[in-house]
Amino acid sequence: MTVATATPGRRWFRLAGPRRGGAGQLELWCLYLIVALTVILPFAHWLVPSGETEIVGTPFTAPGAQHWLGTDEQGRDVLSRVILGLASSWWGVLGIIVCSLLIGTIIGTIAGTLGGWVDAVLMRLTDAVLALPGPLVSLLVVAALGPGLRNVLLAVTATWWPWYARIVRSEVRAVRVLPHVDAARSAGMSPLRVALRHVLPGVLRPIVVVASLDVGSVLLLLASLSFIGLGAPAPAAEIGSMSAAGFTYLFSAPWVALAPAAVLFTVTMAANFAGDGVQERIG
Amino acid sequence: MSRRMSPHRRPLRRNLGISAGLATVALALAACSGGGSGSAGARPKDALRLAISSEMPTLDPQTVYQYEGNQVLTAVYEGLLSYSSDSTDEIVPMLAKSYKLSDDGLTYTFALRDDVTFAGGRAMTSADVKASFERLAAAGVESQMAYMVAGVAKYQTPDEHTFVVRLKAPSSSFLSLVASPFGPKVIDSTVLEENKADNALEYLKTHTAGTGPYQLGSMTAGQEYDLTRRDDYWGEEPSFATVTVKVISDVATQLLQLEGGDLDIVTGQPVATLQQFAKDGDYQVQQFPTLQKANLHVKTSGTLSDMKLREALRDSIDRKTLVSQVWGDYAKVSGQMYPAGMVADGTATDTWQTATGNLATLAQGKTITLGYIAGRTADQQASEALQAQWTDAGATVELVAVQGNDIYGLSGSLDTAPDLLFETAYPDSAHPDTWARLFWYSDLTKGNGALNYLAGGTPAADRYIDRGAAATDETVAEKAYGAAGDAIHNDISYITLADIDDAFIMSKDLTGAGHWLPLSVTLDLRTLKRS
Amino acid sequence: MTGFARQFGIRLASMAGVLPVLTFVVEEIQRQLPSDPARVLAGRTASPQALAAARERLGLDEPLITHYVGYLGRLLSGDLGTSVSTRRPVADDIATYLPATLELVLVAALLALVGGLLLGVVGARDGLTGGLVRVVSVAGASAASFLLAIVLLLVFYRDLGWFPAGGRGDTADGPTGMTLLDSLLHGDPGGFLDAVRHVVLPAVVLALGPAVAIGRVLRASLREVMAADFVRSARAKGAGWWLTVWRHGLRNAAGPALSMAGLQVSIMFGGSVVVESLFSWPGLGRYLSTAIAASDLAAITGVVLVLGVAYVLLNFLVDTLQLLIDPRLRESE
Repeated sequence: MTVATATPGRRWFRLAGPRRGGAGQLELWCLYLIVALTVILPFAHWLVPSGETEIVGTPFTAPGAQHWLGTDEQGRDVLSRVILGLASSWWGVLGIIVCSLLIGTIIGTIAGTLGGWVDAVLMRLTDAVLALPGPLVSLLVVAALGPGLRNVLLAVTATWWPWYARIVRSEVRAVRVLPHVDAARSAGMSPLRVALRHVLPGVLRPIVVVASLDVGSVLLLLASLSFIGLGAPAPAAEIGSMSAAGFTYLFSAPWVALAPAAVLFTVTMAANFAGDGVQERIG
Repeated sequence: MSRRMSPHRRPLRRNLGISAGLATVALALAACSGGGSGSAGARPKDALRLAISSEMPTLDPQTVYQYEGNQVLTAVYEGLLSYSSDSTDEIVPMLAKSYKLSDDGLTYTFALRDDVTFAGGRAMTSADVKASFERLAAAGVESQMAYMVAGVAKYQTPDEHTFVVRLKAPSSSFLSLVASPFGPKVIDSTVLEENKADNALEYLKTHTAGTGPYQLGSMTAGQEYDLTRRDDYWGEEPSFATVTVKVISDVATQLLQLEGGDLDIVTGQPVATLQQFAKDGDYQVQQFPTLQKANLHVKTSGTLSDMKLREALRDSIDRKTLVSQVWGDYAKVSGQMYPAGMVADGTATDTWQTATGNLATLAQGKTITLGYIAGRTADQQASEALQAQWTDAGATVELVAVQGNDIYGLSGSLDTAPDLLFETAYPDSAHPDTWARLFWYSDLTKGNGALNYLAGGTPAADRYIDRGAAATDETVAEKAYGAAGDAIHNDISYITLADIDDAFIMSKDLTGAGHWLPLSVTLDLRTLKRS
Repeated sequence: MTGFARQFGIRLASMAGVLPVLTFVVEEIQRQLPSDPARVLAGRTASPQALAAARERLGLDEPLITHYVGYLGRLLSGDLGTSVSTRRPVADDIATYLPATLELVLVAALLALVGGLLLGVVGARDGLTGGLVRVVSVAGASAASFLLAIVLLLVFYRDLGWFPAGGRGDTADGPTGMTLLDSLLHGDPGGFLDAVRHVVLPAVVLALGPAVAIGRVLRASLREVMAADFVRSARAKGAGWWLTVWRHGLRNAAGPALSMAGLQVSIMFGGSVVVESLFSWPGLGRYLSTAIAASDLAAITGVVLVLGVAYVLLNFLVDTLQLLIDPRLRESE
């Protein structure tokens, strides 16, 4: 997660350090796992036993010593494909959250700093997008633009940013009235400088919390879109489409569908626990 | 996507850490346990339950133009002739006892059975047949099968049990279209008369009015069709009193219901599943030949305008490996440009020695796109396997999922269309014209080549096809269609891969299943029984 | 003007503002399509003249505003276009399948509310039970609906045989099209039970994620309320934990949970695409997944539009309900 690097501050030492009574161990380990995944997954292509579309054996070889998660209908290594699929989802999740964060922060900061009619217009727009059923609109956008990772990113980001915009805006408004910010403004600092120097740092914390809680949700949303056929086209390894294709062979070769689904479940759960941990500590 | 808003949470207890891991394992175990835990529940003696994978937009036999749903329609409606239900290309009498063809090849005289009744008891006459044939061509019906009767000059009904069709020009395929499972079915003309305003389109969406052994008892849109046996059916009484056809889109769920005893027959399963059930003592796998064929449409403009490249691409396909991987024993390597048995053996052959040759050199620096129809699992699997073979041979091939309805627009925007399109296709009847004219005809302006998605074919081949259709002599026709196939083969605008069989997984106690050669995923319920 | 009328007016106005945004988004998406909607409407064998006529009917050559107004006009007259796969008006298709989806989502919403209440209240307790509930909640929220659906089918259909594998059961010809309601209206307890048995598994899959989300919000607000002075003094006077939760906690914590429930409906609508396909539920979700496979954009936009409007209306209702329940909201702002 970007959280680990994006958050300024001492609190992380406390999070990582030993705690009273050892409580929160689960969240902590999950956080480690998530951080480790973020570090390792970009290198997935060098780490996996075989390539994304490489045929390594007979189709439907059961899991065993040679292929830990067996092979799929083409004879490709399921483990490699699951890892690569996870890596591509991970990029997707990071992309969506970072883009949403950027857009949300910009709009929220502008609205919160300038106030007045700008604030009113921007927030009505934000509310209007928030009032739409997000998953359905994303689905419509991808269906219209055509399946593929880039379009999925676009579609999900389009419905995701307002959440951040709203939080940033309310935080900005809260921070603005703090004495030192007020003083800076009275001293004639430009609104932009006030925002960058004094307001944004205070806003980062709640934003990071919300973002870290979103990782699991975005991961599931991406997998679901891919499951119904709106992800990257074959033969790309994607968790959702691999599960969907594997369901056809659920009874003759259960590992093809269940391996990606189980990995998705585990990683999503770890992300959710890690998000909880982050929230608890700095939220 | 769930938003969590709780700002205050207490940390968890340490000993709960294990439970998360346990949950994963438990889920995996639950899913993997017991591959086939037997058929639960007794199967009802006189009720049959089967599944189709998508619902029918309507029950109108003259507008449904797809395999799915014919399981319902063939049990309810009948035509004058039929293909034999032993899955051969023999045409047998149905509502017509016999037919006579005039010497000029223009006039067909059908002698109708006199013991046929519609559901409700009214006797069928030649007026019903005439009304049904005419409806197929009616503008308001917009039937995609209207082409079958487009060559008809007029219909006559000299008496109650004689029906005469006069064609504008001889057509060697007409009889096969009358017998086609998609061909003209006879509908009760009183229903057509009563609902004249909209050609009975609305009424026939949810009602049936046919001569078949079953009639629609009830239906739930998108869920199931319940058929009940007719007591006054003219033919032999079928064994099952009720037939339930359920709409279940997911093949895994279909299989689950088969194992749970809620379905008796499933089809459309992948080869791995078929092999598994063939070994299972509680089930049988029945295999029937069909006219389905796996093919590649080749775009002869753009990247593949180079004939040598097309040839190298084709020659590097190892069809034997492809077939065994995707269809196993349930398909054969294609040997002819036409579906198996459509033209004489040894004519219109489509064979080559598998050799990678100089594909790598010819395809260097080029990206070839291979389209397949999105959502069709076997098609995708075959396309991925082809891609792998070509990649091995040194070509760069990208897959494109083409959405179902977009394939009809490809020929209109060729420059953005994929270079190759994989398709599992089927003709309307066993006559070669129903194959060649739809898939190969290069002149798209006259309503021909409706399924020639990538605008392949040559004018010379078009002329052969027309010559075959107009021939009154069978050997002349066969020769012309053979030449058309050779022309397409030499042009490499169309590559055939496999002839695909139908495979049904059924409970062990079912016998007597009939199957029509031109109609995949459908069984003849007239003869099926439970022993 | 009373506080209620004022707040109600504000919410009404914002809802009225959202609907044009929704229709505009959908209309623009339809306009910007790569595939030609006119060709879709006119059919694959359309002549150039028919194509031109279709273009004109869709107003594709008009400027943006004119096109949008025309589009709105067609929407208001119930014209959502024609589906290329079913060859029927999309509005007719939606009318056929909407009741099944509404029924499923309503049952799921009910389950989510009850489940959320349980998870929230129990999870708010200290100690092992609370911790366990929290872990299970997170696990539940982490399972993709396709995984959950298939596991439930394997366990409760194949292995235990408690519930059917799919479908809605026999539907009564009923005024509402919702089997549960219709069987009750017809006085058919057997049919009602059958409908219940069919709806349980898909509804549980749809409800799990939302239940966890509602539970979280409820738990957070409960803990806040329970830490408040007046509650602590009540407990100090000897009232038990459960009693205090019942008397003070829930009433004050219900608001946020309720609006969360409203928001979660959009997730249920989205989830219905996967769930209805796996459970052969003849509703809009499965119609939508078929439409996606066939790139049937008239159908896709139609469904999104109808469900979108339903969602906006529902959240307006929830907001109004909150105004009625919680007097504090009427004075705010």
